[in-house]
Amino acid sequence: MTPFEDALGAALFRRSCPNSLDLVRYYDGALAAEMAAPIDRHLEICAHCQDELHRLNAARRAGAPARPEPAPAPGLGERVRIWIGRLLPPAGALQPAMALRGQGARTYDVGGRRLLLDIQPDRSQPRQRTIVGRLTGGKGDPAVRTAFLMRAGETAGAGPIQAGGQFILRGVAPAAYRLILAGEGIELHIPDLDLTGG
Amino acid sequence: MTGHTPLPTDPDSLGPQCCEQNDVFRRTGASDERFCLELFRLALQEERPAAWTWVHRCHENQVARAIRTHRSLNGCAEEVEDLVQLAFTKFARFARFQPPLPAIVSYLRACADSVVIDCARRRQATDYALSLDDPELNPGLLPAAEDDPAAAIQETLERDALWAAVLGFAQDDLERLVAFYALHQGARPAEIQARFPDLFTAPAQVSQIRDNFVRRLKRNREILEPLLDDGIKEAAAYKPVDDNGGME
Repeated sequence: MTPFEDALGAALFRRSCPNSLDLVRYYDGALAAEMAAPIDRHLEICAHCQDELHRLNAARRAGAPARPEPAPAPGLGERVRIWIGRLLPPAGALQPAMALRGQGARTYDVGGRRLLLDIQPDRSQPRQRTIVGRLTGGKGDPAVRTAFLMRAGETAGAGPIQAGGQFILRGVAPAAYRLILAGEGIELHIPDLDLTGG
Repeated sequence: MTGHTPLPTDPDSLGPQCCEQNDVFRRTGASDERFCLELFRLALQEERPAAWTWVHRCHENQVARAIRTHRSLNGCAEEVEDLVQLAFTKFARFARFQPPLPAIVSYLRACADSVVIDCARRRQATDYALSLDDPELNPGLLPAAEDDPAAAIQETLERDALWAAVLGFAQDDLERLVAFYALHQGARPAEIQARFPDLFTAPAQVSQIRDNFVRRLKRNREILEPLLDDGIKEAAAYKPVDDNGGME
């Protein structure tokens, strides 16, 4: 290697990666759509940033000290692709075919798939909510098996996702949550699911 | 919530109340947010040093906990205490006062997470720099599931002037693909070949494409060097004149 090659190599390595604060804010769902879109695209091809999101997600979900754990060797650790959902504007053509009786339907684009969420009052517990979800699209992508509701880093609820993409989470208290649909090697996140209204 | 307590106006009165309410929140999940919110306002908007002192005091355990739980801490050489200071420095530099309180605290948490990522990235960049001369080291990672990365490579890299210029010297999609995985991701030829067995029959083929491309970049260094960062430019300036004669 010549110094020029070294210098060029050092300059080009991960040069187009988003800065770390933007990446974390992206994970938190706190970036405006015009800032989030390039990161969406970047994550499709950058395993380094995917790995950083995976580690961030593991820390946020587990809340356990990281120091004692051995670091996975680069390229050998479990890879989980994380997709962050974007709320789509209401449009008649995008509304779910399922019944819309409650707080309202929300439609998200998440990793090219369409996630329809219908927030309804829980019939047996009037102050609580029922989330009826249906995930469509993503033909050929890894399947997601379980829906998790996370609040302040803890699991507040969970339920299986049916083969057709449907799931139901009952008895959900009004609060702000992160919804995670998880499968082997993939997680679909809705970071800002606010159930305090209605 | 105890929303009827009068709100003090100076940081030294607000601070203890903020710390106490943080404890209340940890125990009960609810608290009177006005004290911490006003403290953040005095720190971020009015830049009162005493307010910053109390912001540190009331939130440093929270920030330290976030840093200790971050999985990337394993790849980080700095001490947790130093990272806590860096997190507050970053927060002071980039945060704006935008209520409600959970949004501000969330930003502080994001700063804590990001300094750990920064730290791990510094370590990774050092490993990469060493790997340039040591084939046993490999900081590279390849995406797990992307089948057709050409468009995404073009889109994500053309936003950067140096990368846009570098890709401008690529003659075809194969060179662009090798350039991205070898130079941006730090992947070895064998990894690239294994990732794209339909495109490359052997690691040597990847090596040849990479080497040809790098030689072309060297011949055009006068175009690329102005785009390099100052420090990198200085390093490159120590180089003797191109010794490969521009042969491909």
